[in-house]
Amino acid sequence: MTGFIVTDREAHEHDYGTGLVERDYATNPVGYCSQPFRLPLVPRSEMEERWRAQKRSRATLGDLIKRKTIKSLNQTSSNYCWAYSSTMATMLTGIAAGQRYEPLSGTSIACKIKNFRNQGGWCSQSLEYIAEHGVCRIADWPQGKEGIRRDMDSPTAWKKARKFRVTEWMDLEPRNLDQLISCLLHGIPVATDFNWWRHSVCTIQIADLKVRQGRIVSFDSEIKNSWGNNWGDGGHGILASKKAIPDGMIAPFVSAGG
Amino acid sequence: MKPSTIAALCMLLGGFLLFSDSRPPGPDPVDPVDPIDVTPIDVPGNRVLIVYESGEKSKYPAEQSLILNSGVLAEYLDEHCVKAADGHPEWRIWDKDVQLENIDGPLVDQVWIDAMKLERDSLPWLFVTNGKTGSTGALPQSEAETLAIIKKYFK
Repeated sequence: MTGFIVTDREAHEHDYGTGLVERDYATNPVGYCSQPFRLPLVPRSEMEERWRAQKRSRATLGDLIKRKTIKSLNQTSSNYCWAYSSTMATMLTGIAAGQRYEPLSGTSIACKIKNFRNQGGWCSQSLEYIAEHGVCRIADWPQGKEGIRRDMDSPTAWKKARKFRVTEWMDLEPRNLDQLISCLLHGIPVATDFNWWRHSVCTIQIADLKVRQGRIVSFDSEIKNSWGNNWGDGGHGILASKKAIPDGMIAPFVSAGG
Repeated sequence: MKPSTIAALCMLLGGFLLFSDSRPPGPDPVDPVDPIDVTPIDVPGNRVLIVYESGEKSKYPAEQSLILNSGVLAEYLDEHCVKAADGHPEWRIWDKDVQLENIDGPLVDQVWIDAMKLERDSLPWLFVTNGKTGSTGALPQSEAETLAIIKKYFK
Protein backbone atom coordinates (compact mmCIF):
# COMPACT_ATOMS: atom_id res chain seq x y z
CA MET A 1 0.00 0.00 0.00
CA THR A 2 1.19 3.47 -0.81
CA GLY A 3 2.18 6.02 1.83
CA PHE A 4 1.57 9.01 -0.45
CA ILE A 5 -1.05 11.26 1.13
CA VAL A 6 -2.86 13.58 -1.26
CA THR A 7 -2.71 17.05 0.26
CA ASP A 8 -4.29 20.19 -1.21
CA ARG A 9 -0.91 21.04 -2.68
CA GLU A 10 -0.49 17.61 -4.29
CA ALA A 11 -4.04 17.81 -5.59
CA HIS A 12 -3.91 21.25 -7.15
CA GLU A 13 -0.31 22.17 -8.03
CA HIS A 14 0.44 20.19 -11.17
CA ASP A 15 0.23 20.34 -14.95
CA TYR A 16 -2.30 17.52 -15.37
CA GLY A 17 -5.90 17.97 -16.33
CA THR A 18 -8.85 17.28 -14.07
CA GLY A 19 -12.27 17.98 -15.59
CA LEU A 20 -14.97 16.96 -13.14
CA VAL A 21 -18.30 18.62 -13.69
CA GLU A 22 -20.48 18.23 -10.59
CA ARG A 23 -23.35 15.92 -11.29
CA ASP A 24 -26.71 17.52 -10.69
CA TYR A 25 -28.63 14.85 -8.78
CA ALA A 26 -31.90 16.72 -9.23
CA THR A 27 -31.83 16.13 -12.98
CA ASN A 28 -29.67 12.99 -12.87
CA PRO A 29 -30.84 11.13 -9.77
CA VAL A 30 -29.24 7.94 -8.48
CA GLY A 31 -30.09 5.15 -10.86
CA TYR A 32 -30.85 7.39 -13.86
CA CYS A 33 -28.38 5.50 -16.00
CA SER A 34 -28.20 2.13 -14.26
CA GLN A 35 -29.38 0.20 -11.28
CA PRO A 36 -28.77 1.76 -7.89
CA PHE A 37 -26.60 0.02 -5.31
CA ARG A 38 -28.08 -3.43 -4.87
CA LEU A 39 -25.67 -5.44 -2.75
CA PRO A 40 -26.50 -6.08 0.89
CA LEU A 41 -24.40 -3.70 2.93
CA VAL A 42 -21.55 -5.16 4.96
CA PRO A 43 -22.60 -4.55 8.57
CA ARG A 44 -20.43 -1.97 10.27
CA SER A 45 -19.73 -4.45 13.05
CA GLU A 46 -17.99 -6.71 10.51
CA MET A 47 -16.18 -4.12 8.42
CA GLU A 48 -12.84 -4.04 10.21
CA GLU A 49 -12.51 -7.84 10.44
CA ARG A 50 -13.52 -8.26 6.80
CA TRP A 51 -10.87 -5.71 5.82
CA ARG A 52 -8.20 -7.59 7.81
CA ALA A 53 -9.23 -10.90 6.20
CA GLN A 54 -9.09 -9.29 2.77
CA LYS A 55 -5.53 -8.17 3.43
CA ARG A 56 -4.53 -11.60 4.73
CA SER A 57 -5.75 -13.28 1.53
CA ARG A 58 -4.17 -10.54 -0.60
CA ALA A 59 -7.62 -10.05 -2.07
CA THR A 60 -7.64 -6.26 -2.42
CA LEU A 61 -7.55 -4.57 -5.80
CA GLY A 62 -4.21 -3.08 -4.73
CA ASP A 63 -2.87 -6.64 -4.53
CA LEU A 64 -4.25 -7.38 -7.99
CA ILE A 65 -2.66 -4.24 -9.43
CA LYS A 66 0.67 -5.19 -7.92
CA ARG A 67 0.44 -8.80 -9.10
CA LYS A 68 -0.40 -7.84 -12.67
CA THR A 69 1.81 -4.71 -12.76
CA ILE A 70 -1.11 -2.60 -13.92
CA LYS A 71 0.11 0.88 -14.81
CA SER A 72 -1.88 4.01 -14.16
CA LEU A 73 -3.51 5.58 -17.19
CA ASN A 74 -2.60 9.12 -18.21
CA GLN A 75 -5.16 11.70 -19.26
CA THR A 76 -2.28 14.26 -19.56
CA SER A 77 -3.71 17.79 -19.72
CA SER A 78 -7.12 16.74 -21.05
CA ASN A 79 -10.33 17.34 -19.09
CA TYR A 80 -11.24 13.67 -19.27
CA CYS A 81 -10.69 12.46 -15.68
CA TRP A 82 -14.36 11.42 -15.55
CA ALA A 83 -13.78 9.00 -18.42
CA TYR A 84 -10.49 7.68 -17.07
CA SER A 85 -11.88 6.80 -13.62
CA SER A 86 -14.53 4.58 -15.22
CA THR A 87 -12.06 3.17 -17.72
CA MET A 88 -9.71 2.06 -14.94
CA ALA A 89 -12.65 0.56 -13.01
CA THR A 90 -13.67 -1.34 -16.16
CA MET A 91 -10.13 -2.61 -16.68
CA LEU A 92 -9.87 -3.80 -13.08
CA THR A 93 -13.25 -5.53 -13.23
CA GLY A 94 -12.13 -7.56 -16.23
CA ILE A 95 -8.70 -8.36 -14.85
CA ALA A 96 -10.19 -9.41 -11.51
CA ALA A 97 -12.21 -11.99 -13.48
CA GLY A 98 -8.99 -13.53 -14.78
CA GLN A 99 -8.91 -11.79 -18.13
CA ARG A 100 -5.95 -10.28 -19.91
CA TYR A 101 -4.52 -6.90 -18.93
CA GLU A 102 -5.04 -4.54 -21.82
CA PRO A 103 -4.50 -0.78 -21.29
CA LEU A 104 -7.55 1.17 -22.40
CA SER A 105 -8.01 4.72 -23.59
CA GLY A 106 -10.44 6.88 -21.63
CA THR A 107 -9.95 9.47 -24.35
CA SER A 108 -11.75 7.23 -26.85
CA ILE A 109 -15.04 7.33 -24.96
CA ALA A 110 -14.76 10.96 -23.86
CA CYS A 111 -14.22 12.02 -27.47
CA LYS A 112 -17.37 10.22 -28.56
CA ILE A 113 -19.49 11.54 -25.69
CA LYS A 114 -18.28 15.15 -26.08
CA ASN A 115 -17.99 15.12 -29.88
CA PHE A 116 -14.19 15.52 -29.70
CA ARG A 117 -14.36 18.61 -27.50
CA ASN A 118 -12.03 18.70 -24.51
CA GLN A 119 -14.80 19.01 -21.92
CA GLY A 120 -15.47 17.80 -18.41
CA GLY A 121 -18.14 15.44 -17.15
CA TRP A 122 -18.86 12.95 -14.34
CA CYS A 123 -18.05 9.29 -14.03
CA SER A 124 -21.47 7.76 -14.60
CA GLN A 125 -21.68 9.44 -18.03
CA SER A 126 -18.63 7.54 -19.17
CA LEU A 127 -19.60 4.19 -17.68
CA GLU A 128 -22.97 4.36 -19.37
CA TYR A 129 -21.14 4.68 -22.69
CA ILE A 130 -18.71 1.86 -21.81
CA ALA A 131 -21.63 -0.45 -21.10
CA GLU A 132 -23.02 0.08 -24.57
CA HIS A 133 -19.91 0.37 -26.71
CA GLY A 134 -16.84 -0.64 -24.69
CA VAL A 135 -13.54 1.23 -24.53
CA CYS A 136 -10.87 1.29 -27.24
CA ARG A 137 -7.45 -0.09 -26.51
CA ILE A 138 -4.59 2.39 -26.21
CA ALA A 139 -3.05 0.39 -29.03
CA ASP A 140 -5.95 1.57 -31.23
CA TRP A 141 -6.61 5.03 -29.79
CA PRO A 142 -3.90 7.02 -27.91
CA GLN A 143 -4.64 8.12 -24.37
CA GLY A 144 -4.44 11.69 -23.09
CA LYS A 145 -4.86 14.89 -25.03
CA GLU A 146 -2.98 13.59 -28.04
CA GLY A 147 -5.82 11.11 -28.60
CA ILE A 148 -8.38 13.85 -29.29
CA ARG A 149 -8.36 13.09 -33.00
CA ARG A 150 -11.22 12.21 -35.29
CA ASP A 151 -9.03 9.98 -37.44
CA MET A 152 -8.79 7.53 -34.52
CA ASP A 153 -12.53 6.88 -34.71
CA SER A 154 -12.71 3.74 -36.83
CA PRO A 155 -15.12 0.78 -36.95
CA THR A 156 -12.14 -1.53 -36.43
CA ALA A 157 -11.17 0.16 -33.17
CA TRP A 158 -14.74 0.02 -31.89
CA LYS A 159 -15.17 -3.58 -32.90
CA LYS A 160 -12.21 -4.44 -30.69
CA ALA A 161 -13.59 -2.14 -27.98
CA ARG A 162 -16.61 -4.38 -27.56
CA LYS A 163 -14.40 -6.85 -25.72
CA PHE A 164 -13.99 -4.23 -23.03
CA ARG A 165 -17.52 -3.57 -21.96
CA VAL A 166 -19.23 -3.55 -18.62
CA THR A 167 -22.41 -5.57 -18.43
CA GLU A 168 -23.50 -4.83 -14.86
CA TRP A 169 -22.82 -1.82 -12.72
CA MET A 170 -24.32 0.16 -9.86
CA ASP A 171 -24.94 3.84 -9.30
CA LEU A 172 -24.06 4.54 -5.66
CA GLU A 173 -25.55 7.26 -3.51
CA PRO A 174 -23.32 10.32 -3.17
CA ARG A 175 -21.20 10.42 0.02
CA ASN A 176 -22.47 7.01 1.14
CA LEU A 177 -19.49 5.39 2.86
CA ASP A 178 -21.33 2.18 3.73
CA GLN A 179 -21.94 1.52 0.03
CA LEU A 180 -18.38 2.44 -0.92
CA ILE A 181 -16.82 0.28 1.79
CA SER A 182 -19.10 -2.65 0.94
CA CYS A 183 -17.95 -2.49 -2.69
CA LEU A 184 -14.28 -2.31 -1.73
CA LEU A 185 -14.63 -5.24 0.67
CA HIS A 186 -16.02 -7.27 -2.22
CA GLY A 187 -13.15 -6.28 -4.49
CA ILE A 188 -15.31 -4.03 -6.64
CA PRO A 189 -13.52 -0.93 -8.01
CA VAL A 190 -15.42 2.32 -7.71
CA ALA A 191 -15.10 5.29 -10.06
CA THR A 192 -15.35 8.25 -7.69
CA ASP A 193 -15.99 11.95 -8.25
CA PHE A 194 -14.56 14.42 -5.72
CA ASN A 195 -15.97 17.93 -5.90
CA TRP A 196 -13.26 19.36 -3.57
CA TRP A 197 -10.65 18.21 -6.12
CA ARG A 198 -12.77 18.80 -9.24
CA HIS A 199 -11.44 15.41 -10.21
CA SER A 200 -12.59 11.83 -10.73
CA VAL A 201 -10.38 8.85 -9.91
CA CYS A 202 -10.71 5.12 -9.32
CA THR A 203 -10.91 4.12 -5.65
CA ILE A 204 -9.32 0.71 -5.24
CA GLN A 205 -9.08 -0.16 -1.57
CA ILE A 206 -9.46 0.83 2.04
CA ALA A 207 -6.30 2.42 3.42
CA ASP A 208 -7.55 2.87 6.97
CA LEU A 209 -10.79 2.04 8.72
CA LYS A 210 -11.97 2.33 12.29
CA VAL A 211 -15.51 1.60 13.42
CA ARG A 212 -16.45 2.34 17.02
CA GLN A 213 -19.87 1.67 18.52
CA GLY A 214 -21.46 1.39 15.12
CA ARG A 215 -19.92 4.60 13.78
CA ILE A 216 -17.27 4.89 11.09
CA VAL A 217 -14.83 7.13 12.93
CA SER A 218 -11.96 6.89 10.48
CA PHE A 219 -11.81 6.08 6.78
CA ASP A 220 -8.99 6.65 4.30
CA SER A 221 -8.99 5.27 0.78
CA GLU A 222 -6.34 4.42 -1.78
CA ILE A 223 -6.95 5.74 -5.25
CA LYS A 224 -5.46 4.99 -8.64
CA ASN A 225 -5.18 8.30 -10.41
CA SER A 226 -5.05 8.93 -14.15
CA TRP A 227 -1.92 11.07 -14.19
CA GLY A 228 0.53 8.32 -15.11
CA ASN A 229 2.85 6.32 -12.94
CA ASN A 230 5.12 9.26 -12.08
CA TRP A 231 2.50 10.97 -9.95
CA GLY A 232 2.25 9.96 -6.29
CA ASP A 233 3.45 6.47 -5.50
CA GLY A 234 3.38 4.69 -8.85
CA GLY A 235 0.23 6.61 -9.73
CA HIS A 236 -1.45 5.85 -6.40
CA GLY A 237 -2.30 8.11 -3.48
CA ILE A 238 -4.17 8.09 -0.19
CA LEU A 239 -7.21 10.26 0.34
CA ALA A 240 -7.56 10.85 4.07
CA SER A 241 -10.64 11.53 6.13
CA LYS A 242 -13.12 13.98 4.54
CA LYS A 243 -11.13 14.04 1.31
CA ALA A 244 -11.98 10.33 0.86
CA ILE A 245 -15.75 10.85 0.76
CA PRO A 246 -16.90 10.85 -2.88
CA ASP A 247 -19.65 13.10 -4.22
CA GLY A 248 -20.45 10.69 -7.03
CA MET A 249 -19.74 6.98 -7.41
CA ILE A 250 -20.31 4.25 -9.93
CA ALA A 251 -19.23 0.65 -9.52
CA PRO A 252 -18.89 -1.85 -12.39
CA PHE A 253 -18.92 -5.43 -11.23
CA VAL A 254 -19.33 -7.58 -14.33
CA SER A 255 -17.17 -7.09 -17.40
CA ALA A 256 -17.60 -8.77 -20.76
CA GLY A 257 -13.91 -8.50 -21.62
CA GLY A 258 -10.78 -7.32 -19.97
CA MET B 1 -37.55 -73.92 23.02
CA LYS B 2 -38.29 -76.49 20.34
CA PRO B 3 -35.98 -76.65 17.32
CA SER B 4 -38.92 -75.98 15.04
CA THR B 5 -39.74 -72.79 16.98
CA ILE B 6 -36.12 -71.60 16.74
CA ALA B 7 -36.12 -72.27 12.99
CA ALA B 8 -39.35 -70.32 12.58
CA LEU B 9 -37.92 -67.35 14.53
CA CYS B 10 -34.76 -67.43 12.40
CA MET B 11 -36.84 -67.35 9.21
CA LEU B 12 -38.87 -64.42 10.49
CA LEU B 13 -35.72 -62.48 11.46
CA GLY B 14 -34.05 -63.27 8.11
CA GLY B 15 -37.11 -62.11 6.24
CA PHE B 16 -37.18 -58.87 8.22
CA LEU B 17 -33.52 -58.17 7.49
CA LEU B 18 -33.95 -59.06 3.81
CA PHE B 19 -36.85 -56.75 3.14
CA SER B 20 -36.16 -53.87 5.51
CA ASP B 21 -33.76 -51.02 4.60
CA SER B 22 -32.90 -48.35 7.12
CA ARG B 23 -31.36 -46.05 4.43
CA PRO B 24 -33.47 -43.17 3.15
CA PRO B 25 -34.86 -43.55 -0.36
CA GLY B 26 -32.96 -42.03 -3.29
CA PRO B 27 -29.52 -42.43 -4.86
CA ASP B 28 -26.48 -43.49 -2.89
CA PRO B 29 -24.79 -40.52 -1.20
CA VAL B 30 -21.68 -39.16 -2.91
CA ASP B 31 -18.67 -37.47 -1.45
CA PRO B 32 -19.54 -33.75 -1.64
CA VAL B 33 -15.87 -32.74 -1.76
CA ASP B 34 -15.09 -34.91 -4.73
CA PRO B 35 -18.28 -35.27 -6.75
CA ILE B 36 -16.74 -36.73 -9.92
CA ASP B 37 -13.41 -37.89 -11.17
CA VAL B 38 -13.94 -37.25 -14.86
CA THR B 39 -12.72 -34.04 -16.43
CA PRO B 40 -15.49 -31.51 -16.96
CA ILE B 41 -13.38 -29.76 -19.63
CA ASP B 42 -11.94 -32.17 -22.18
CA VAL B 43 -8.98 -30.06 -23.33
CA PRO B 44 -5.35 -30.72 -22.33
CA GLY B 45 -3.92 -28.69 -19.48
CA ASN B 46 -4.76 -27.39 -16.04
CA ARG B 47 -7.77 -25.09 -16.00
CA VAL B 48 -10.12 -23.70 -13.39
CA LEU B 49 -13.47 -22.03 -13.80
CA ILE B 50 -15.43 -20.53 -10.94
CA VAL B 51 -18.91 -19.31 -11.79
CA TYR B 52 -20.76 -17.03 -9.41
CA GLU B 53 -23.62 -14.58 -9.33
CA SER B 54 -22.18 -11.12 -8.82
CA GLY B 55 -25.48 -9.77 -7.60
CA GLU B 56 -25.47 -12.41 -4.88
CA LYS B 57 -21.77 -12.17 -4.11
CA SER B 58 -22.22 -10.14 -0.99
CA LYS B 59 -24.73 -12.68 0.30
CA TYR B 60 -22.15 -15.45 0.17
CA PRO B 61 -20.43 -16.20 3.47
CA ALA B 62 -17.62 -13.67 3.89
CA GLU B 63 -14.87 -16.27 3.72
CA GLN B 64 -16.32 -17.80 0.57
CA SER B 65 -16.75 -14.41 -1.06
CA LEU B 66 -13.09 -13.73 -0.43
CA ILE B 67 -12.12 -16.71 -2.62
CA LEU B 68 -13.39 -14.84 -5.67
CA ASN B 69 -10.74 -12.12 -5.21
CA SER B 70 -8.09 -14.11 -3.41
CA GLY B 71 -4.56 -13.19 -4.40
CA VAL B 72 -3.31 -16.39 -2.81
CA LEU B 73 -5.53 -18.43 -5.15
CA ALA B 74 -4.79 -16.22 -8.17
CA GLU B 75 -1.06 -16.53 -7.73
CA TYR B 76 -1.35 -20.30 -7.53
CA LEU B 77 -3.50 -20.43 -10.66
CA ASP B 78 -1.24 -18.05 -12.57
CA GLU B 79 1.64 -20.38 -11.87
CA HIS B 80 -0.03 -23.75 -12.42
CA CYS B 81 -2.64 -23.26 -15.15
CA VAL B 82 -1.81 -23.87 -18.78
CA LYS B 83 -1.11 -20.70 -20.73
CA ALA B 84 -3.06 -19.49 -23.77
CA ALA B 85 -1.23 -18.62 -26.98
CA ASP B 86 -0.82 -15.06 -25.72
CA GLY B 87 0.65 -16.27 -22.42
CA HIS B 88 -2.48 -15.61 -20.39
CA PRO B 89 -3.09 -18.24 -17.70
CA GLU B 90 -6.18 -20.32 -18.36
CA TRP B 91 -8.41 -19.73 -15.38
CA ARG B 92 -11.55 -17.68 -15.10
CA ILE B 93 -13.79 -16.43 -12.34
CA TRP B 94 -16.94 -15.26 -14.05
CA ASP B 95 -20.39 -14.08 -13.30
CA LYS B 96 -22.97 -16.56 -14.60
CA ASP B 97 -24.45 -13.93 -16.91
CA VAL B 98 -21.23 -12.75 -18.49
CA GLN B 99 -22.02 -12.10 -22.14
CA LEU B 100 -19.64 -14.07 -24.30
CA GLU B 101 -21.35 -13.91 -27.66
CA ASN B 102 -19.92 -10.54 -28.65
CA ILE B 103 -16.38 -11.41 -27.77
CA ASP B 104 -13.86 -13.01 -30.08
CA GLY B 105 -10.17 -13.82 -29.94
CA PRO B 106 -8.10 -15.47 -27.24
CA LEU B 107 -9.78 -13.72 -24.30
CA VAL B 108 -12.87 -15.85 -24.66
CA ASP B 109 -12.01 -18.83 -26.80
CA GLN B 110 -14.23 -21.82 -27.40
CA VAL B 111 -13.06 -23.74 -24.34
CA TRP B 112 -14.57 -21.10 -22.04
CA ILE B 113 -17.75 -20.74 -24.09
CA ASP B 114 -18.26 -24.50 -23.74
CA ALA B 115 -17.28 -24.49 -20.08
CA MET B 116 -19.88 -21.85 -19.25
CA LYS B 117 -22.54 -24.20 -20.62
CA LEU B 118 -21.59 -27.04 -18.28
CA GLU B 119 -24.22 -28.15 -15.83
CA ARG B 120 -24.21 -26.50 -12.42
CA ASP B 121 -26.52 -27.30 -9.54
CA SER B 122 -25.96 -24.10 -7.61
CA LEU B 123 -23.75 -21.02 -7.38
CA PRO B 124 -20.93 -20.38 -6.76
CA TRP B 125 -19.61 -23.42 -8.61
CA LEU B 126 -16.09 -24.76 -9.14
CA PHE B 127 -14.77 -26.66 -12.17
CA VAL B 128 -11.26 -28.08 -12.02
CA THR B 129 -9.51 -30.03 -14.75
CA ASN B 130 -6.06 -31.24 -15.61
CA GLY B 131 -7.29 -32.36 -19.03
CA LYS B 132 -7.78 -35.99 -17.97
CA THR B 133 -9.53 -35.90 -14.65
CA GLY B 134 -11.19 -33.20 -12.67
CA SER B 135 -13.88 -32.08 -10.35
CA THR B 136 -17.16 -30.25 -10.57
CA GLY B 137 -18.95 -29.15 -7.45
CA ALA B 138 -20.10 -26.33 -5.24
CA LEU B 139 -17.37 -23.86 -4.39
CA PRO B 140 -16.07 -24.72 -0.92
CA GLN B 141 -16.51 -22.31 1.94
CA SER B 142 -12.88 -21.32 2.28
CA GLU B 143 -9.76 -20.51 0.32
CA ALA B 144 -7.90 -23.43 1.92
CA GLU B 145 -10.53 -26.00 0.94
CA THR B 146 -10.65 -24.64 -2.60
CA LEU B 147 -6.90 -24.85 -2.99
CA ALA B 148 -6.92 -28.40 -1.61
CA ILE B 149 -9.32 -29.57 -4.36
CA ILE B 150 -7.37 -27.79 -7.10
CA LYS B 151 -4.03 -29.14 -5.91
CA LYS B 152 -5.43 -32.68 -5.94
CA TYR B 153 -5.79 -32.46 -9.72
CA PHE B 154 -2.89 -30.15 -10.52
CA LYS B 155 -0.16 -32.61 -9.55
